[in-house]
Amino acid sequence: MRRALLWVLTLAVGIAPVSGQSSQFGLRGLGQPGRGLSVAALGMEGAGGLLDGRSSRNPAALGLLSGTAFVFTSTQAWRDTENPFGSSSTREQRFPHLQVAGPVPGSSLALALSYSNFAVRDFTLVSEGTDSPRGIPIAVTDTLGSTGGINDLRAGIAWTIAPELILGAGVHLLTGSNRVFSVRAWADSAYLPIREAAELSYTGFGMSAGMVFNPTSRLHLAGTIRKDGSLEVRRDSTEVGSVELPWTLSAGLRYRLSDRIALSGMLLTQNWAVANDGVVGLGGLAARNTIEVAGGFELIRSVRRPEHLPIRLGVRHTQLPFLLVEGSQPRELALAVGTGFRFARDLGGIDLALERVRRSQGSGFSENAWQLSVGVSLRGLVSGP
Amino acid sequence: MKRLALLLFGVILVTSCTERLTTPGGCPSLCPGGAPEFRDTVLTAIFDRDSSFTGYSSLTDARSLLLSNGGELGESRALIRFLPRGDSVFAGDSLKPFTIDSVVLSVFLQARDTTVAGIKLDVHRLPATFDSLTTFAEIEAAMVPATLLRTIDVADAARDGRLEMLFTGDELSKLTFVPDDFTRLVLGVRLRAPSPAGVYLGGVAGGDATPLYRTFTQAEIADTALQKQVLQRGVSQNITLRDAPSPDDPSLLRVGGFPAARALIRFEVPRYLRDTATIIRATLELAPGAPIVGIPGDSARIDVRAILADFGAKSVVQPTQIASGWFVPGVDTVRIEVASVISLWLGGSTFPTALRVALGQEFASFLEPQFRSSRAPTGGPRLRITYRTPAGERAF
Repeated sequence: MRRALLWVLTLAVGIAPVSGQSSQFGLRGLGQPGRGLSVAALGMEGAGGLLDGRSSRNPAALGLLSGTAFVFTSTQAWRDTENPFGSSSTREQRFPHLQVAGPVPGSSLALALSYSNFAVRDFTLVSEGTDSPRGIPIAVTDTLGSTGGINDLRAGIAWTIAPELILGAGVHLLTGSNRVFSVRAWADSAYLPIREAAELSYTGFGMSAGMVFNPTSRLHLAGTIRKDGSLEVRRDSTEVGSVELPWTLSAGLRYRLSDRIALSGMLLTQNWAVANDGVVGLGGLAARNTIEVAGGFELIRSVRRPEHLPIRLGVRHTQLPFLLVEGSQPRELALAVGTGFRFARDLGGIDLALERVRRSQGSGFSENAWQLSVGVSLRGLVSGP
Repeated sequence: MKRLALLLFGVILVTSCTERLTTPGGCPSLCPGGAPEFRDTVLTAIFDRDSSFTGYSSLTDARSLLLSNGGELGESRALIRFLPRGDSVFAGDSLKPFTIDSVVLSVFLQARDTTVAGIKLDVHRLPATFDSLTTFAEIEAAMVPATLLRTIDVADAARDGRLEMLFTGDELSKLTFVPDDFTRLVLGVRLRAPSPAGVYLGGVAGGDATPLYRTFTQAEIADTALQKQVLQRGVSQNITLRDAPSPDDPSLLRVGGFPAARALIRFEVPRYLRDTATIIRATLELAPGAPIVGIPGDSARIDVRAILADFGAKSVVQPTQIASGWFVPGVDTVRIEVASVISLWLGGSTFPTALRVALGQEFASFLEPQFRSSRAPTGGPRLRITYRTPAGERAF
């Protein structure tokens, strides 16, 4: 137990200062929503996420874990961004998901503690233009940036009522901050540069419930419902408003065509429109409801070791909740391929997922990204009695 | 387990690449918080709380010596006291007497009125007792034909450069010393021209432009390699003497002049500026209450500083932040960008909201502005401040 905690602390302390993300679609509102998926699930674009105990979307899926496990996810992205103001290539590094979970020995319960991104708002935006504070146009360069985001800390429990039915519940603490800064440099040295910084901090709570139902040995169904409360927003320790968070409903299935082939699907919807008033009140443009649809395919190469060198494919279409500019709703289309391997008598495992993601809003704003995710999982860190 | 740990950290290391986060954007459409909003406000000096004070700097610290011959610039003479030359030279292992081969005196022309041709400089030898206490009348009385050492014809095409006077043979008698001189040479310089003009000569604080006094000697020593020695002496004191002090009108704020004055101007700054605004530009505007005169092409610098404590004339000046502006003769308003200085007033600062205004080169410029004070019906000192309003609660 002590060793497991040491691992968790070492990794948590080591990774915290370098997390980051820089999609232009994270500029407005709360940022770009996180996904809470393990890399194995990312390999199928989240299609199997509701039936994956290493992901944090469905607390009931914890009951599918055969042993204790520590899961750590790292994602590196290379992104080409285009908008009416220019184009750029960015790269980023983030650690979107971390979990310690496992069954309680001698019982039908499983527990988990997880950290994942609820929303990420890391960006640096540079623009050039003119301004006329005294009536005479002066060239300016504006740099606007934010680091940080809202984290989703979840404690989950699953109860295996019968091999066919698992129920689960989770409580979520939403906390985090955006360290926002802006710098304006003037071409005329008579004007002093403007530097402003503020810290937006967030606090909120949520609850989730889920189920896994196995009507047959080949068909597995899952569903979750989650309600997050009101997110309090503080600016430099002064409360400046709140944002109502949405209900989340999701359903998924996995059908095993054979011992080696499985198909997965997932549908998720969130009524982000309830956040519209809060987002607009804090300067955002709008928040809209979202629907996410994903489908996946998994080819298991070794029935005895199903997680060793499988081939995973997935496709996903998602609407993004926060408008970047007035107009149509941003959307995201992603394709993924993934695999993984196990070693050290299957105590350790590394999963890989490569995604090709395209996000766009209207014809003016788009980005294409390659995202490589690496997941490390360690099993049996917590010894049973 | 060790191998597992190494592998784990290897994966983290490989995947923890560097970041490049900058994306092009356009405000206000893309910028959370919207476009910055700027406002302008003008603060006028507090009524009757601005004054000029003198006595800060010494007449002898000037980097330039002023010469003029009437007109708007008045009458100005230069007095130059060299360091004592001595009457022996160190040669071999002891002091040796010497005979003088020649003497070269030189002054440096820094700037001149280029619209006046035929400028001449009369260089007189003055009594060794002449110093910074000498009056204009005394130097004028001493500069007679009998004391004239040389007249320098300043070429009409000359803009600047060193002007040298070589004395040899019989002329050396003009530079001999009596015991009361203590081998100290004192010169007086007067400008002559067909019409009123002005000239700047380099002073002791003018670096390479300082006057020089060089004596080429033959030391009385057998070693021929040590016989020829040059004694070079610089300036111990130099001053400009004016026929009349600068006018001292209490309704005006004089900056510079003779004696050099500095102005202290106090402002009332509203709380909203001190507490929440981000000042991006602040311009101190000073309107001359009398014409600013100088030679054509002349310019001078004005330095503005904040003060640490307001003790009137003896206020303590903030030493590091300084704002400067240049002005020329005939200007209708002198503007100095002082945002970096008044930023010291903002936030929880305890700095007095006052500015100390001084000429950049005191006692070294014909330009001696007299600005309208707060007591003038119009045109008193004012601060034009452009600031950004607080970003407020707009965060998304």
